[in-house]
Amino acid sequence: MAKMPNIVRSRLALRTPGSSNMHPDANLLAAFAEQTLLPRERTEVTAHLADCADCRDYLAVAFAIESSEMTVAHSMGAVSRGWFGEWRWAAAVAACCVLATALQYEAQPPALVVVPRAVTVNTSSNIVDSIAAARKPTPEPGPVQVRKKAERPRSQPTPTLLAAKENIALESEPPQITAQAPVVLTGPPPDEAAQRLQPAPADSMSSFVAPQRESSAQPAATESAVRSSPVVPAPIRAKPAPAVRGLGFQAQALTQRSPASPTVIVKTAIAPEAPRVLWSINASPDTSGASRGVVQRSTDAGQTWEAVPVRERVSFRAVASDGSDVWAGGSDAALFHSSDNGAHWEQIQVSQEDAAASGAIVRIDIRRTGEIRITTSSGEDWTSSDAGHHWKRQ
Amino acid sequence: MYHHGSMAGTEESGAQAEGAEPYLAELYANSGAKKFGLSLDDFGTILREVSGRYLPHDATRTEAAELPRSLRVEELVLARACARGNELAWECFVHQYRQKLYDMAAAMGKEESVARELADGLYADLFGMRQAADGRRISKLASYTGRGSLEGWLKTVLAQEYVNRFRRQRRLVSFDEKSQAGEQFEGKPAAAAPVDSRLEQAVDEALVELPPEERLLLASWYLDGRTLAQIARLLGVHESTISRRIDKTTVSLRKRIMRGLRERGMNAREAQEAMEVDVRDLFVDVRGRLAQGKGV
Repeated sequence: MAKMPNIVRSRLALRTPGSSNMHPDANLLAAFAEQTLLPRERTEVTAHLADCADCRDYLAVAFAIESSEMTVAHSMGAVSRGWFGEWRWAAAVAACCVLATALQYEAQPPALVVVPRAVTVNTSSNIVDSIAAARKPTPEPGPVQVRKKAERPRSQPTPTLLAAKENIALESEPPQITAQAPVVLTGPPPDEAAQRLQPAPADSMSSFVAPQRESSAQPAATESAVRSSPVVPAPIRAKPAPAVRGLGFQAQALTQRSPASPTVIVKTAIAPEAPRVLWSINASPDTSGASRGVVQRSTDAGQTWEAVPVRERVSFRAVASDGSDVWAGGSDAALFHSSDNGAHWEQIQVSQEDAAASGAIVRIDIRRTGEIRITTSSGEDWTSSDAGHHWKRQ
Repeated sequence: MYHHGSMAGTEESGAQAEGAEPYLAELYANSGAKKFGLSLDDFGTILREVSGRYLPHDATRTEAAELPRSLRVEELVLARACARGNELAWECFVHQYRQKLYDMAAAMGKEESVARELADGLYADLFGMRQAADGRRISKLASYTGRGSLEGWLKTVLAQEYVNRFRRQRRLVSFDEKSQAGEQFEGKPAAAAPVDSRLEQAVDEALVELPPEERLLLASWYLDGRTLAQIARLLGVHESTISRRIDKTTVSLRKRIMRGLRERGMNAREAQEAMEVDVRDLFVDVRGRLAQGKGV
């Protein structure tokens, strides 16, 4: 980086916003950081920030939370490292342990953990409605209905692991689920919940599992139990996908068709380190009712889904996870990454020196090598081998 | 301590009034305001208030039309309904944002007690512990205008509160604590060193000529010590772009200053020397040092 003469630093530090230039309020500062200001406002706020150290501090503290690499002490010149300064070596040792564990994990895949029961996700659930329903004096049947499946004899073949390495083709944009199109996620009975997967010839981690109910080897007892159940809706045709072995996580997906909704697409990913955390695009309808793709998460094996706020104006079309690392992509090549199971998100620019990704991100693969690969609706393939810092178009 | 207000006037112009009207019904339907008991009229009043706050008098029709459509109407309605005391809205807010608020505070405060105090304080302000003359609670959520996300606004408000507390605490640190921390007592401030006024003028002129975004880049990088990643995130561009722009701006700024110095009568060598002077060296008491040397 070019050296800046000290006289310039000192004169720059002496600059202050003019007396007529009031500080922007928290609304404008937040909108500036989120790039949602009108062009004229952005110019004004930028000019103010250039000369106002106070407002720069506010923004830095507020929007550096994701990276957790900055504290107010840093931004304001304090030098205290606290206990961490003395125990940095312990962090290095811990990092080595994590690395060793990861290598062992790479060599010996973990057992498959799948949802140990059939779950019906009713499309009528959303935050506002569920709260409103809970407030009613006469309780109505809950939107989520759960039924344990009949136990399968051990001699029966294990559920076929079908996966869609190639993301399920989106037949309409944006993906949406209409009412009357419930989604059924199924898995083996509890005693087989930890059954290990058979390897499959693929290196993609974004695999998808077709529902067990579609298997022709389904035991008759199970089928009859399903049919006789009052809580499970009419069988839905699901399109099975080719088998894929995922090292880091297993995922489930259904492509469903129902009379009321010609195209219903659900993508669900199961993080191995938190087997009951599921990720999906529109597993249940967005609270706003808008026809856009919303990233959703379930921490109770798919019984209830919560919309995860990533970025309001993006219609999401793909989500993939590897442990607590979650990637979500959607319209306008918007890609977001969370390293803490969706608590905080960081937008990733998919670009190289002379070009940027175009179209919507329709597929995200996390490879066993740590490489991230995305595919856009315009047919572009981009890869990053350094956790999204640098991208290369294929 | 820091009073932040709108950058625009509060009068409503014709363009402002017209801006939201064509979209009012559509925005109202999208906002979910009905669930929280807000009528179309209530919603229109909120939009007009927001437009009046941010649109300047000379706003174009395009800007007046663009502003309402850029608002986060769902979150705006939720916040305003909470501020009005709607219980369903408040439950939704608690469900969606309470935990996030505490998580944000924990990320900022580092120490649990500080974070807890910070979050509790803001939470109380959001709920509204004070009452107006008519008995209604005064909720901080009423000041949310939907320009950015509600989460982003909460982060910013929390950060403002945290930074202001931090500054207040720094001023209240006792001499004993400073001494224990290894800080020396402050001596008499050195008199301002004479700097060639031509250099100051040339630097100031060059800084004023810089586009605001370039000046923001320089201030963030050289004064605030932000990383490329932090600046890139703030401006919504890639890190490598930031790095290139800082380099380019620094080189261009040097050239402008050199040109300004030559225009003020310096030759190339004098201008170069003036640029390389470290202003911190100018605070050395040369006369005193020389006198000391003679005494020895």
